[in-house]
Amino acid sequence: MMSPSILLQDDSAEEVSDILDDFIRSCHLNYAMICDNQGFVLMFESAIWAPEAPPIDSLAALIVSNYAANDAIAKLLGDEDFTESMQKGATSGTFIEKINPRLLLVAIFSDTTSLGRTKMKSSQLIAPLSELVKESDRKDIDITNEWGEINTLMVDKLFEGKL
Amino acid sequence: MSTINAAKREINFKLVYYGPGLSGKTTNLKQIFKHVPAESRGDMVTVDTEEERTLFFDFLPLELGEVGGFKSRLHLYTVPGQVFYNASRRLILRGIDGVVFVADSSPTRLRANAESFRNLRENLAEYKIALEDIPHVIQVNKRDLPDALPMEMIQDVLDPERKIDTFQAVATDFQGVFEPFRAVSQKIFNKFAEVAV
Repeated sequence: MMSPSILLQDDSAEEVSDILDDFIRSCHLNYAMICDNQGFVLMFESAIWAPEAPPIDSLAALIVSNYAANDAIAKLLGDEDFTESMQKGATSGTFIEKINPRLLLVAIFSDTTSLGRTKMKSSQLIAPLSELVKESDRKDIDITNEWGEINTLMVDKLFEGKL
Repeated sequence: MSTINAAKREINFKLVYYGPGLSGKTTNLKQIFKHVPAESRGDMVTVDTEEERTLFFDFLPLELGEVGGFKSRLHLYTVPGQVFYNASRRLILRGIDGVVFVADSSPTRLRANAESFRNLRENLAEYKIALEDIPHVIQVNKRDLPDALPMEMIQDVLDPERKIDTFQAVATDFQGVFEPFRAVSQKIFNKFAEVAV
């Protein structure tokens, strides 16, 4: 049976947030985030100079799927993976670095960002981030016997008056 | 495999709509998008071809509310149904928590239903998951077709032992869209609670 995994604990969240903030400031990024390979966002930080953030869940789902597709392409071509994943447009782009098999660090940059610095800095962040954000069996969440029932009632509530 | 984000107080689940091409997977997501309050859902993302066939996936994030200090969130995906997009289908299944198999009632699609169901099992096996290990239901869509196959015939092909909860639907009219979504969500939550308690 698959068991749930806890990836980002309360006690390390602030530290992770500070690392992402520093990453944004030092490279002049618009946003930085950590997401897992299912497309769930664990931490998202935004620069004060950045425009309003796009829908974060959608962004993460597309980035993670695109990264997974690139990974599959690398394997088809006989490589283990592509070491660098970057998309660049006229005014924006994304740079992705693998933290571990389950997690990705994503930098979203603008035309004022130093890409060389972004690549260097992101590679330096992998070790500290992989220490702070990792899978855990810690089960300190209060899941009662009624938990499933209440969630199902909330599904019903979503469609209230529509059935 | 659900993701618990203790820092954001969130528990995230991934639900995938699987099935043969044009069986109505995207329609299910569109109907859910249409019927759920705007504050409980994010934008629906569709990666499709010029002919509006799903090329990679459709995506719809839903937020249920808070229980025990944690918000439950469901990310709904569809897979591309066309046979040659198998690599994309396999990628979407990664980290899956539950699946709704959308079958087509058309007499010409019986074989496609069977092949897609077998393909689901094969792709799950790539992740060392048996279908029986994850919450799943079947939705038999397009029941309004004048020549729709009898339910028994479709079930004989997909679930001869009648072990899987199966629902009839006309997804374009929202009929039978909520019920399989609710059923599989309930199974996902119960399974999570079973493991976490």
